[in-house]
Amino acid sequence: MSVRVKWPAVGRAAARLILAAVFIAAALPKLAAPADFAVSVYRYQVLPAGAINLAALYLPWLELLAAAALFLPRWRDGAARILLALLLVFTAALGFNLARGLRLACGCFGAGGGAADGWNLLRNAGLMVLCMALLWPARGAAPSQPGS
Amino acid sequence: MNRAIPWARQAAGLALCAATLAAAANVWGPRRIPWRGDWEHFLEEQARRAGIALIGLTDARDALERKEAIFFDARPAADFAAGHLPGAFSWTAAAAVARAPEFLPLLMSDPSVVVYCAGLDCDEALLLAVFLKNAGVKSLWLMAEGIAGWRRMKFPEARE
Repeated sequence: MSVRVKWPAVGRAAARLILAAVFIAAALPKLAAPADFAVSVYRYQVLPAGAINLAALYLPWLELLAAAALFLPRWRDGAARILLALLLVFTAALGFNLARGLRLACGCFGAGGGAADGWNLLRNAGLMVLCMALLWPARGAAPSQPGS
Repeated sequence: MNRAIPWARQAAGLALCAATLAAAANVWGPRRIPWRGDWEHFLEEQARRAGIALIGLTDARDALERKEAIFFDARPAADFAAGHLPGAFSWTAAAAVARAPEFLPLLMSDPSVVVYCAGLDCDEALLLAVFLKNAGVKSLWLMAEGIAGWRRMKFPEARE
């Protein structure tokens, strides 16, 4: 008897692991130093003054919870969509600033680090592909067509 | 048939949990920050700490008209091209070091220098000011209200 390796399932597990690792690594330094992260958000110059601290307080917790929830079958669809939405927002904010020539630290993994560049966008694109791979309907799980 | 979308419920649940945790952490946690930061005065506060003097819009306008100071615009070049203080030079904070050989000779005779960026929501001018201070510029002023304040006052503007 041969064991059939379910490659799609292995791929999904790997995607979950990578996404969770990246987002947990991103969330922890921000949770440890919210004041520094607020300065990073301020430097993006995209939020009104009143929303900067709220975003700096809220985003890391959302990243952390969504990353952890990728491993809970009842929550992982919503979690993957939250991560995808976060990536879209982050990429748009960074892309906007790169496009207008503002060189700023990414702040993606807390304060510090050099100026952001196209690599940050490329990395985010890769992470978005992983999110979409998780959301793609599994072939085995699709409802069978009548008559098939 | 009333069928809720499972992922939307999951996402809403996670978003709500995150909000609760964030609020709890900022009420009882060790690293609390104000719910609403004083970002309108962040620039002034940072300038004060860095020992950079501030200049008001009217004083800056007077200095510009009397040609008493050299003005540097620290915003991205595209923003500079779209409108800037007449006679100002474009010197972005990111290019502070790279363009120093070009501008530092202008500053050899110890002129007054005014730097500005977009307004109170940017700190590029402050970064440039700190660089200039370290480079030995003595009469250095930060126009914290930036181009936004300048436009609010309807002071003259130049375009390229």
